[in-house]
Amino acid sequence: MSTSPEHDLEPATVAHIARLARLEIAPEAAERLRRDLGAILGHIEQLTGLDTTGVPPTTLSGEATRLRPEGLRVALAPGEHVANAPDHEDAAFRVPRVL
Amino acid sequence: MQHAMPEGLRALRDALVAGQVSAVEATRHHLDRIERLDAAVGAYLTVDAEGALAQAHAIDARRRAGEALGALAGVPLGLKDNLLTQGLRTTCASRMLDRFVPPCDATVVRRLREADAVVLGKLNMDEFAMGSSTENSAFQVTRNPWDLRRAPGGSSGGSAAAVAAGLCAGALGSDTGGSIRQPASFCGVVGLKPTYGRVSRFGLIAFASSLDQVGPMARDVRDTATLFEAIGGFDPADSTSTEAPMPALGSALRADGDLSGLRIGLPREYFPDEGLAPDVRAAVESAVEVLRGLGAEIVSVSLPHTQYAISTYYLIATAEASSNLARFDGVRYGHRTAAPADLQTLYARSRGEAFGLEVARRIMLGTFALSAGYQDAYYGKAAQVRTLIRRDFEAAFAQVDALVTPTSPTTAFPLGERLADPLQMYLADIFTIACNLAGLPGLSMPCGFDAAGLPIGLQLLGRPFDEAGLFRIAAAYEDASGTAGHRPREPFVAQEVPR
Repeated sequence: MSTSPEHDLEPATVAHIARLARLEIAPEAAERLRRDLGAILGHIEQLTGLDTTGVPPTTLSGEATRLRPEGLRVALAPGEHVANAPDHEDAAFRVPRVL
Repeated sequence: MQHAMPEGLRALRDALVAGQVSAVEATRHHLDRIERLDAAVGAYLTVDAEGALAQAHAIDARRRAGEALGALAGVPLGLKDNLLTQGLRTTCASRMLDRFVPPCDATVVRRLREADAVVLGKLNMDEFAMGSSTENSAFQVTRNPWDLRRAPGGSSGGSAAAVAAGLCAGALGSDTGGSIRQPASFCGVVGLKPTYGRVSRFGLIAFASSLDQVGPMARDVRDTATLFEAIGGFDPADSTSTEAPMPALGSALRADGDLSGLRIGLPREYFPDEGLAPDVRAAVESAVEVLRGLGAEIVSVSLPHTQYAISTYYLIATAEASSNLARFDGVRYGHRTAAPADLQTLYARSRGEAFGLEVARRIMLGTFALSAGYQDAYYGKAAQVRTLIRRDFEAAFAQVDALVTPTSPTTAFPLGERLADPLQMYLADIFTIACNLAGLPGLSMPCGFDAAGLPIGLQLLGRPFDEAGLFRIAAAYEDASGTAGHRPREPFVAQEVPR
């Protein structure tokens, strides 16, 4: 099994993806991820050589997703929804000031 | 105890029904083994001794009162720690969820409870099911009971190791790209990835929603089928769950072993000249001869897009993962960083602190594949190639009833060996990944041992919803080959490093 040459990612690209992913990454981990992602994307480059003109995408492998009628139902008892919250006040999740 | 504790799920269930063993005795037996042996194996993240014994006492009381009991009454089982268990910590082997206590059961867990099975605890795994060795767990290493120096496989490595070590009578795992079949292969047990849509995903913490399936792992084929019957079937809470009725497995599992009239395909691409360990190739070829001897016609087939499966998988799975794992934002549940200055810092720092390196790697890759300017070239392309891979299988299944392949190119590898190079770890998933992309059922079962005494796995792939066909072949092979029932010797030890 051969692997393709590395796909060279710019550090700025890694920083951009991390921002999109809402993921704070330490500088040494960012360099490790830059190299790992480059190697993986290098392998993935093989797909560009495959002609897929006119091939429809497959997004779900089973039958079509079934819809259910809309309706109210009780999913969690009062208070249960905040039981695992890192910070809450009564029934509300507490977060830093937004405005 | 008047009787020796029966090995295996059905033997234990039958002894429970016959009153030879009580649910409390069966549960204590397994809890004692966990206490004695799991320090070496490391399969369990959480052991619920109190809850399991309470369940067992209740089942025994109901049996004494003459009540009708479920099909698995008193049978002690383990669950992969990405399946929600009401009131019992569920971590996904991640620091993100190290204190998460679910408010409800996954549908498969509810069904096991309705069948009166006993839940012993939660089993280790790669964090968020991302990995092939269980080494990506944030909490502990799980060791292969056949050789403690080696990995149990992954991501359902805790489940496979617990079944192999006799630390439960059976277990549930989940399989997104081979995470049931590859550890089953490495640990010498049987594991089934059901057809996509066959088993409910409600309450399975999502990794890649179009690929994930929950499935059973047990010591032999019929034990695995028994667990599958307990968990499968339509669930209105999972919009991708099929309304097709569960197959009746009785006739598939009968002991006559005759496979005449069946056509079994050997995909050429799954027997490459390079990269397939000689002992694995030899064992699988011997298994094929056993199947031929049972009357099956063996046919060579081709799945020409196999070489693209790993690239396709690592784009689709990571794209879906980056979306699914966006829910872990440090607000409603999960880890939150201390004293964040603002909401954006809360999100990014909480996630950065709590996700391990492999999870970060996959979120990053998936985010990249879905980002503006790259989505068509990466995710879109992969979704098209997925169609080509699916069509390969459709063409093959027009010629044959099932496919036989190795489960993994090698037997269990030493712990630590593949951690430095994630791409090499990914490439070893070559035989299990296409099955998920095509939504097919796949089963791994033991078919012998390599020169180091490590189990080798045989993989059977079937048409969508033909689990019964897979079980028929698997049971016939198991009966004819005598490959079931081998257990690692106790106490479990590390083997000499071969030079």
